[in-house]
This record gives sequence, structure tokens and C-alpha cells, in this order.
Amino acid sequence: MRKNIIAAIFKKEMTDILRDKKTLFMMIILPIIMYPVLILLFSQIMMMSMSCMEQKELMIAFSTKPDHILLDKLENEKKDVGRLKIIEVNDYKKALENREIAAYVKVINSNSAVQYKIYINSSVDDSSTAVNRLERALEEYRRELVEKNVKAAGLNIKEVLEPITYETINIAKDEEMAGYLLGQILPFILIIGVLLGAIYPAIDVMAGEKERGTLETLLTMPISNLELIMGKYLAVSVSAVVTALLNILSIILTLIFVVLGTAVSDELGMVKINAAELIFPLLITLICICMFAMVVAAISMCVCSLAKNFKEAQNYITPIMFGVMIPSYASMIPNVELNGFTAVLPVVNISLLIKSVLTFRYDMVAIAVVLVTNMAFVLLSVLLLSKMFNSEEILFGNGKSFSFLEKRSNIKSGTLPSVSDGVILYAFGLLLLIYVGGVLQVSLKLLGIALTQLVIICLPLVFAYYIKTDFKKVFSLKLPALHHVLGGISLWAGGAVFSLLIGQFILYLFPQNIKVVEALSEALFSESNLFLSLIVVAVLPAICEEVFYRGFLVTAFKGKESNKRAIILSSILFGLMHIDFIRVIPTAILGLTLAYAVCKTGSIIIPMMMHFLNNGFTVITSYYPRSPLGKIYSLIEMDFSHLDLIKLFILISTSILLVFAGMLVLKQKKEVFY
Amino acid sequence: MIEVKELSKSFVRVVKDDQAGKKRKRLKTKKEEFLAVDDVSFDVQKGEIYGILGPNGAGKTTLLRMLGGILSPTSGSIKIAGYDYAEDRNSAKKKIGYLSGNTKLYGRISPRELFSMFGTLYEMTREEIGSMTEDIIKIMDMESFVDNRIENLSTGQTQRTSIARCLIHSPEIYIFDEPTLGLDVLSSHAIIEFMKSEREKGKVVLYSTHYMEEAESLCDKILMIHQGKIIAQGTPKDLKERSETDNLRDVFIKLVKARGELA
Repeated sequence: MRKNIIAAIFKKEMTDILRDKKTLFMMIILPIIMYPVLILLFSQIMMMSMSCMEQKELMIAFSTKPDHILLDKLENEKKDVGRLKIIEVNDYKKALENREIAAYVKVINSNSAVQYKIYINSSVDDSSTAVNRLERALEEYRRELVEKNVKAAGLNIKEVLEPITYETINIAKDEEMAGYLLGQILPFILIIGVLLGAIYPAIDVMAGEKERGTLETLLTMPISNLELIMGKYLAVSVSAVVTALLNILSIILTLIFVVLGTAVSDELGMVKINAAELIFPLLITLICICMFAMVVAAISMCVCSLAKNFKEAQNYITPIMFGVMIPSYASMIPNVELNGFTAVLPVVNISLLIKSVLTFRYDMVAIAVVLVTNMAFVLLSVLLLSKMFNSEEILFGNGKSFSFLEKRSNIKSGTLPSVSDGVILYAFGLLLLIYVGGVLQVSLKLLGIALTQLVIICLPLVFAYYIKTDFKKVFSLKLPALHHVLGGISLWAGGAVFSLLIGQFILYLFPQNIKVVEALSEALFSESNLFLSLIVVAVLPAICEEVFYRGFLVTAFKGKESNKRAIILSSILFGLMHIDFIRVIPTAILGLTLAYAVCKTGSIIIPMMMHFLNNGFTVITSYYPRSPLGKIYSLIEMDFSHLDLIKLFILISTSILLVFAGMLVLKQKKEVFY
Repeated sequence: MIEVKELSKSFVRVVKDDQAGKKRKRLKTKKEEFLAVDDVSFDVQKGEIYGILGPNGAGKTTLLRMLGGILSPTSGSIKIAGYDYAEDRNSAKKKIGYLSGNTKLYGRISPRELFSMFGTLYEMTREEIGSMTEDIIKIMDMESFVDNRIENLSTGQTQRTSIARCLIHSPEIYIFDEPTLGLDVLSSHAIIEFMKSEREKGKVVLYSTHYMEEAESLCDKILMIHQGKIIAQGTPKDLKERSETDNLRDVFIKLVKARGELA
């Protein structure tokens, strides 16, 4: 990919988008004028219908005529509330049904008290309004009678009727209130904004270009399909983000000038927002919106690339619009919060995340999950898009075929996985882990963890079978030499010390995450059977995760000459798969040693052994903290609040020594220990 | 300059499946592979106008699209000025100026912006683009409309801009797909004159047409294709002598008849 080419295509698409009146209107004019108009209109209609409803004179009927005090209260209601008029009816049920009266009151006299039964037709708005007025009048009437009785008995009214008083005081900070109000409505508006901003440019750059016949001109240029699609993709993403931001700006300005300018300003006008405290939430919101825009842009471009012309593209994209709009309502449903489950639902998670950061109730783990899942969605959708755009059938064919993946019969045997194969499998695996793995682990506990591992190993095996690859080569199926085993142990020991230190340091920096660690170890080690724990926590991951990461991914990412990209990329992805924020870096460090080992020895057995040692060590030390192994573990524990520099120095130098010794031994091609 | 070896292109098309349709009520379709270009080989030398002749649907456009690098061949190889498409696609594409009825221009930008954008895509420097643009404006006489939006230009002006678009990177090879189709006498004359003048400069022009008379007077060499296969190849004179006729139209009809496909 050449940057200047992508930039040139991006520039061309932006010029095209900005010069098209239709897209320009959707992107810029509509958001700017929509909110002021919408809010003004809405408030006007609300006010009109409210006043019309309240002031209307409503008919009611009584079974027996009420006494003059109540009558007075009923008929002399204040003017701005609206009056009730008492009329006579024969059949109250019929009268209610025919809406002659809004309510009917049956008066039942018993010995001690008078009972009023109010009959209404709740499907009629007037009825509920009448009930409100009736209840108000009756309540006043009752209170007057009570007060009269209390006074007659010679008692103090206040002492008898109001022995206690209470009041609710809202201590929410002003910025929290503002955040709450914004958090309800903003996610929905932003998501709609992104949709409006993405869809028209997407249709224009894909189907529009096909319809106008300019696509073939562009394809005669010396540019690759990927460069072309990247330039277009960037342009659509940018216009989606810009539209979303314009939406935010417009709604904020509307709030300031329209709402605060009218009568409501007495209540809301004094809200002072501390700008500094809103920076972090707004930043997260911005990142979310950008990622969301990228997903929407990619998906709508995929759909549009199937269409032959503008009209067809619009038809194809309508279901997508609804599919995105409906889940974005999530932020408006009360009591739906961002949690482990909602964080992985597409669209819903973005909507809830924005809501939660704006109300200052966010936890880093949930944010990480949302960002990681959306990152996976971005990767998958972009890859899908580039695959689809490569297909000639979509460009020149009838445009209805989905054959963007090569048929198995067309694949040459011995094909090695490419970088994009690695990325697409990883993204797919990540989503599978989050959706399927999460459910399995919650419902089946230890068995669920085991099943998740099986899923992890099946993915690369099935993929490798499909592309008819050389299994021996991809998965480094080779017996290791003896010295490689020793080197692997040394490298692991050094890496493990370092990764434990880093893990503890991160925990020291972010102590609130200790809960995550505790919950995790509880889940992992709850099984009382040591043997079973070892199988599920140490043996299975050692085999399954190694086949996926050190087998498939490392081979997929390998460059022609250097292994650097493979080692670094695979360990970063390995770390990210352990979504909990504090586990990512230590795991990635471990991944570095594992990937190095497989690259140098060419045998998957070595990293499998190292992985087993690592997990087995953790299991055994947590089962037997007093065993010799447990004591070694306590040696590595560092208290970063009372830093023992000498101990830290010794630990770090030991770890470096072990790592270097391990690396030296692993580099040796021939047997050096006789 | 152009070397084409054993080039084939197959498409998958969906056709009605008659056998399955009789048993079930639902209309069954099946996928069928068909060869649009079938085992085509030829060479084009420097300073030649090379004509590709054939009726509609003969596979001319598919062949030219493969030569222009828009479609990838199913099998066979193409070398453009020494660059093989399979190895260095972009270097090969830079040698080509490709024009067909399907290569439309962007309506919302002006010709000047168009040159600048395409120049960038050909990885030319800003100075190169600037001087080329000035040259082209003079050659094609575009002074009066070079800054108007393309959607507002007349048909003739658009056609001139289209040709100018192919010149921006001064290619060594021109590939024109039915360039004179549907044009009036003056416009098609201008295009033919353009091809002749480029031949004088030692460039290569490869073009397809189904106007046999036009090809006869213009082309140095001719390739006739029918249903994806080559049916004849050579200079116009050769072809006429071999089939003992006095014009290309008769050559073509005779050849097709000889294959027993035209009763």
C-alpha cells in the first residue's frame, strides 16, 4: 500500500462528496437545522396539547349529589387547571362508553365513613385527566374534614397529622446531571448521525461510481484494489465521523440557545459544567464514535458493492439502517447498564458506553471489552470489504454473488496462510471467544473453559484443512532437540519472573483491578481436584493456544527473511485475547518468549512445554502455597509501595540472565551438550 | 511491446437448468462456466496500429480489459513493454493509456483537477503534472473549458477530455475499445487522425472495432476473433490474399462459414 496513492483517492472522494448537493445536505445542513427545528416544534406541540387538555371542561356524574363543600371544590377549581361540570345521567356505563361523561362517582354511605368509587374508561385521555382533578378535589375535601375532626377533639393539628416530615435532596453534581441528560439521548443521536453520514457517501463511492461508469476508469490506473478501497473507506469513515460531530455540536448549541433561552432556563440555566471533568468521557465517546463510524462505513460499503446502481444500493441498505437504529435505543431504556453481557452486543455496547461515561459510571474492563470487540468488528468488516472488492464478479458480473472466498477446489495444496488469513482468523476467534466462550464459561464453569480451548484449537485446524496447507510446516510439528528443551525452560523462567513483576507493578498502579484477579483465580481454581485443574488450566491451553498462536498465527505473520513481525504481532494479539486490561501486558511478554522459542527451534513442542510449565506453576502454587514451589513464588512477590530496590535489582538481573541464556541455547542449531 | 501468450478468461454465469426444472415447480438454475476468451496469443510491435475485429459478444472487450489490467486472466500471460502482469502489475499499467465506452469521467470535477488527480495516481511529480497539463490543453485545444465541471461539458468536449486523460502519463501503448462507436464523422475522423499521429511517434495503438472498412484502411495488423477464439491473424493484405476476397468483411464471413457456424 502506498500512502500517497491512498491520499490521492481520499482527496478525490472527499471532493466528490463535498461537491454533491445531496450528500452535503445529509451531512451538514440536515444536522444543523434539524435539532433546533425539532426541539422547537416538539416543545410547542407538547405545550399546546398540555394546555388544551388541562383547560378543557370535563363532564362527570354523581350517584347522589355531593354536599356543598365538595361541590364548591369541584366546580371552583382554579381556571388554569380546568373545571369539572356535574351533569345527570341515567345509565353511567353507557354514558362512559359514549364519552358523555369522563368519570362517574358512586357514593356509598356506611356507618363510619363515606366511600367514593370513581368509574372511568382508562382508554380515554379525558378520563385520566378527570380522575386527577377529582382526586385533587377529594383529597382537599378529606383533609378539611380530618382537620375539622381533629380540631373538634381538641388536638394539635400539626402534631397529629404531621408527626414527621421528609424531603429529598439531590446531591448529584451539576456535571453529573448534565451528563445524565446527555447520556440518555446523545448515543442515539450520534449513532443516527453516523448512519446518515456514512450511508450516502458509501452508496455514492460504491454503487454510484459503478452506475456512472467511472469505476472502470479508475481501475485502469496503476493502483491496487486495496489502495483504492482504503482511500474510499477513509473518505466514508471521515464523513461519518464529521456528521456525527456536527450532530453533537448542533444539539449542544440548540440546548444552549433554544432551550436555555426560553422559560426552562430558570431550572436548567444555572447548571455549571466543569469542563475538565468532561474531557475524559468526551474523549472516550469520540474514540467510540470513530470506531463505530469505521464499522458502519465498512458494512455499508460491503452492501453497496453488491448493488449495480444507486437505487438498488438504497434498497439493500435499508435493512442495515434499521438493524443499527433499533439497538441504539438501548441507552434510553432505564436500568440497562454496561456490563459483561451488554459490552459485547454490537451497537448496544457503543450506545451504553457513551451513556456510562457521560454519567461518570464507567469501569475500565467494560470499556476495554467494548473497544476490543469493536476493533475486531472493524478488522473483520474491512477485510471482508477488501475481499469483496477483489472479486471481479462483483465489479462486472450480475452483482448478486457472494463468492468472495476462494472455492476449496481452486486452492493449490500446500498454500501457506497469509497475513490477512492470520488477522481474519484472529478476529473471528476473538469474537467467538467473547460470544461463545463467555456463555460456555458462565454456564458450564470448568467444562466451559475446556470447551473454549477446543474451539480455539479447531479454528486453525479447520482453516488449515480448508486451504490444504502443509500441516507440518504451519504448526511446526517436529520433535525438539534436548538442548532446546533446556533452553526453553531457561527462557520461560526468565520471562515468567519478568512478566510476574510487570503484572504486580500494573496491579500496584491500578489497585481497583485486584477484584478482577481474585474473581479470575476463584473461577479457575475452584475445582478441588488438582489433577482436573492441571488438565484444564495447564495442559489444554498449552496445546490449544499454542497451536493457534505459535502454530497458525506465527506462520501467517512470518516475513520472508525476518521473524520479528511474527514474534511481536503474535504476542500482542496473544495478550489482547486475555481481554482483562491488567493481564494484557504480562501475557504479551510471555507470548514473546513463546513465539521466539518456536521461531528458533522450529518445534511447537518447546512453546507447549513452556506454556504448560507457566500455567502449571500457577496452579500448583495456588494449591500448595507452602510447598517449595510456593516459596519460590513468594520470593518473586514485590511490594511496590515499600520498594526493596536490591531485591528488585536481583530479580530483574536474574530474569535477564535466564532470558539471555535461554535465547543463546535456543539459537544453537546443533547439539552442544554431549 | 505487447506479448500475449495462450490467454484465456472464463466466467461463471447462471443459466436455467432444464432437467431439474421439469421435476420441480421451482425454476432451478445452475452455474455454468463459459470461455469469453479462449487460448489467444499474439505480439504487437512498436509503431503499429493493431486492430482487433469481431462481432458483438466476440470477447473483444474482455480481451482488452485483460490487456488493460482491469481483469485478471484465468490462464496465460501478458507482457507489456517487458513487464509481466503477473509480476509487476503497476509498472505494466503505467505504460498504458486505456479508453473505452465504459471509462467515464467524474462529473463533479474539472478537467484540470482530473489531470492532477490521475497524474498523482500515476505517481508523477507536481511539476511533471503541471507541464503535461499545459501541453495537453494546447494539443487538444481545451483552453475554453478546462476549468468547468465535466458534467457541464458538451459531448465533444467530454470526448476530448477522455482522450486527454489517457495522455497525461505519456504512455507508450494506447488501448482503445471501440473508440469510434456512435461518434459523428468529424469526431471519429479526429480520433483516427490521433491514432495515426501517435503511430508516427513510434507508439503502439491497439484497438477494437467492428467497422471492418475502417480497420482495413488504418491497421497494420489485424486479429479476428469469434466466440473467444482467434479465427485469423495477419496484415489486411495477407488476410485478403489467403481467403481470396477483396475486403475484410468478406474475409470474416468466409472464415465463419468455414467453421460451419453460419448457415
